[in-house]
Amino acid sequence: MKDKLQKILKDTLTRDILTFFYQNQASIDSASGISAWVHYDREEVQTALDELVRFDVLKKDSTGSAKGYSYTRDAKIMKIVNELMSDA
Amino acid sequence: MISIKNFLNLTKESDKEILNMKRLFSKLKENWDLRQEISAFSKYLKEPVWVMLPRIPLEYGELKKTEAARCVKKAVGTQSRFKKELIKILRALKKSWKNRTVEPFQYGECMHGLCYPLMSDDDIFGVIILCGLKKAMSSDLKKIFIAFTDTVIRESRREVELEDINKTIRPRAIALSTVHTVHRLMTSTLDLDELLPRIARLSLQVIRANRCSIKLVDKKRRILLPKTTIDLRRKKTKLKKVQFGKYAPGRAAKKETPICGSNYLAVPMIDEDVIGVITLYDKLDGKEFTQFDEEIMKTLSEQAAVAVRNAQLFKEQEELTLSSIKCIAQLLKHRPHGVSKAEASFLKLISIIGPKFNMNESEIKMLQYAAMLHDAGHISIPEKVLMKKGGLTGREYDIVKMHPMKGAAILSKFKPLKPIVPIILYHHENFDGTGYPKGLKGKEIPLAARILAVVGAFEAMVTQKPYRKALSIKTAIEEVRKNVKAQFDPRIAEAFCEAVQRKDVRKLLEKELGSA
Repeated sequence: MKDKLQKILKDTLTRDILTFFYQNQASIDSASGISAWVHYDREEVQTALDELVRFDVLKKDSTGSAKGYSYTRDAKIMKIVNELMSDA
Repeated sequence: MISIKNFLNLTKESDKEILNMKRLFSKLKENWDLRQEISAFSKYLKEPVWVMLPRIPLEYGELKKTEAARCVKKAVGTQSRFKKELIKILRALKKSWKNRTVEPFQYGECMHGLCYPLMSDDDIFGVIILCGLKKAMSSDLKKIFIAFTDTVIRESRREVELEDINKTIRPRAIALSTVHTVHRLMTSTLDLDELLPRIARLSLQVIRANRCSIKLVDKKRRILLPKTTIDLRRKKTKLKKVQFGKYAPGRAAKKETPICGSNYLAVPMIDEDVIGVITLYDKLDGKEFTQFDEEIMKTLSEQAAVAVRNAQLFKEQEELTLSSIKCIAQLLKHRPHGVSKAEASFLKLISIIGPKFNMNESEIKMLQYAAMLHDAGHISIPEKVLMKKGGLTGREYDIVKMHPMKGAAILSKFKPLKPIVPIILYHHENFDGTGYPKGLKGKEIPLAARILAVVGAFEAMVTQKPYRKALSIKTAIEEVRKNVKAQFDPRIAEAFCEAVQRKDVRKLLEKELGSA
């Protein structure tokens, strides 16, 4: 898991998004909201968010047109992210 | 002599301001433009010594420890001369502090220097001492030096201000954005069974807690009924009723205010009256619940209260609609072959077939309503026609063919049932275009009406009529198969035949019809 995460975090945008959620663990936001926080194009952000959801680092709440992304609550994944963030 | 402490007391009143001044000094030291300034001046002034200090040293002992003192020592050599020269610089420093401007000084045989207080508005937060100059700085050069330095200070101050904005505004903006997203997620469902677990999950996420339970108020009994509990650590959770005034949720409901303990936070959902309580337990990081958690949960519970109330009202409205439908269906029951006795089976069949054709929950519900009322138009057919055992005359058949339109006309008056009007209107259309009332063909017939055509025909076949006995389930299925393409959409007929042969459906059908 750590290796796989390390691999996707080579992408600057993915790393920036994860850093945002790591620093703001209580945040729940839409792709547009997150694109404003990390200063990237919304569509690019959407792709990176989907990738992070696929790795269970982020959770996606979806209902109708409303979608919210939030940081994982899985202790194992949180530990790995902690390690990766401290290494960085 | 003014001590450092007094100097600080004179210029700054609080620790926070002192801290800000220190931050400004650090920012200035890191400033790229300042480095450029130093580099440019250094070339022009033949590599002088630059000393930047976070405050003006107004005592000999303090100045002695600086790089400026080392520079003087190098120039003068003897200890007695060194002290004398340093006191001269100290005087220049005091003068520059008092006058808040550049103050030149001279030391050794012919060495020059200057000091300039670093100022932000009227506050002095440091000093630049320049020594090792071979000659005194010209007044023009001094002006340039002051202008450059002041510009860099202003720039650093803006950086500090921006940093402050980022520190204070950004977290609030992020929290606000979170509240907005949570609001959208909460208000986009009117299904209470879906909404309450969602509120619990979102609360857990926002507060980073391990357990969330939501209880709704039973006003008559003045108790809180457990509705949902999510515990990240356990799969099974106990749902307990709580009396008003008891435990944290009960107290929050009674006092209509949040109740916060070290490992719990109970927040009432208030929509005029208390309608429920959201209680969070045990933060993920093991820390206590904070004032900020309470504030966030108060906002979130206000939104939750509105969403829960809307869902409750929607449910009440749905129940009202359903009871109206049941009421109409009950009236139809008193008409000959008005309503099938296998109603539950047909509703189940619809709930199985609908999703196969990508119908959503609401569309399926409407189709079920339509199934219950599809022959509402029979009310306009004279009883003698409905009860007739022999064949119908042309005129009688024309009357029967009017029933979809009559039914649609009756139901169109009831606003919540508007979506079922086309289903009622076209449920006797045939796939090959030979049906009535419009003779629509293939996909011109609405999907729901095509489904109801199959289910309705099957229902008619397995129900006893005045003019014939009820067909067996098996024979009725064969009849449906025979009429594929002509009467029924082949894909729907296929889905129907699959569904009707499911064990659970078959069992229910047999139970309701009382035969195999």
